[in-house]
Amino acid sequence: MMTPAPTTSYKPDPDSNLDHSTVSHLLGMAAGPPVRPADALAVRMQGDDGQAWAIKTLAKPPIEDLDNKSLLKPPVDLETLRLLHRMGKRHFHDAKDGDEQHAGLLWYLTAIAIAMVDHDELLSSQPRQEVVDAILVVADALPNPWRARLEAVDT
Amino acid sequence: MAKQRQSKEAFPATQMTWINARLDEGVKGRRDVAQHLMEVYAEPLRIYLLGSSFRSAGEPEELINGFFANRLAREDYLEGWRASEKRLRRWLINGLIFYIKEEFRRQKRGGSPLSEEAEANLEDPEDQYRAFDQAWAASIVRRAMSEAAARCKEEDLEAHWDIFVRHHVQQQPYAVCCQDHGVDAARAAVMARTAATRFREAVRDQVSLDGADETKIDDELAGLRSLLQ
Repeated sequence: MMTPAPTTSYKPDPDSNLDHSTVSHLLGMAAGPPVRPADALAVRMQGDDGQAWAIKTLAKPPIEDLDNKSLLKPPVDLETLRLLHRMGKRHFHDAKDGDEQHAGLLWYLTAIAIAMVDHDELLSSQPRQEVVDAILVVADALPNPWRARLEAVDT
Repeated sequence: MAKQRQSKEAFPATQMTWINARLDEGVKGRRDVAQHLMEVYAEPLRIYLLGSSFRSAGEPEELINGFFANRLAREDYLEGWRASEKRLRRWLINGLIFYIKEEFRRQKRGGSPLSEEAEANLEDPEDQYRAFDQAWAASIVRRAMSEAAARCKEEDLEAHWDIFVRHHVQQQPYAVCCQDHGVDAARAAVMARTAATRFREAVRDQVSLDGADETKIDDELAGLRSLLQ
């Protein structure tokens, strides 16, 4: 059985003026795994089930009895954030698989972000700009209202 | 039959998922696949023809349109590709050459053959694979940019994409391209980094759609980059 012939004719792309150097540079950006953990987490949240995974993860903070909605209402208690930061870090290091590691990093960065926004307190020993960059990369991949909450580190 | 089943299973999941899903949809799905092939492969095939002895065979655009219309109308054409274990672009080049030779034979029978000189020069110009692959690399980058731009738009990240293009394609410093978006250069760099992750996935999807195994995509990208040096 024959299917109908495609009807779309070939038309040269008017924007096909990428030179070899630019194409090579852009292909280079696609090569290799994302090196930084925050980039890997952002990629995880862009996958087919990424947004559902993020929502499910954020629904269960790694602290017993902590309601995740309370994290969206500033100001969040600083000691709670310090504990959340420690728990996230522990989950990241003790993770048995990639998703557990991503979840640990997500809580770790969330705690740092909220502490910066609500208390101007840097919980991490990493350079402030490096931490802010990582938070923003992750924030860009999050659904709202979490995206907006983390993006506030940039204001 | 067993060989065919084994060959199909050897294809990477992402490519198999997309192609199979479209082909299972029947006529509409095959149209989607055809659309993808024409958008990504037509320009590289045109460049290949222009640099080969086949350029005497006719207008490249007409030959390519004829080739796609003829081959993609066959229900089993892509099944043949999947069973072949070849990269899609090699399958299409070979298919185009066969198509042109068929056309020569048809013209001969119809009484309007090519000149003897043109026919004698017909050969598979291996050296033109390089030009084809360079054009294909540019083609998948354009396609990936289009998809990443759409993805960024869906996610309300249009400013991120604009900064990515201005910096990585138009080579503007972040300090310049940040100005229209009301952010500083540091934030612009992070925004471009976010858009870059969308672009990265889109490029890798395109390479996978050509038939590259998931574990070989980095090698494929390195090979393409070396051709562009």
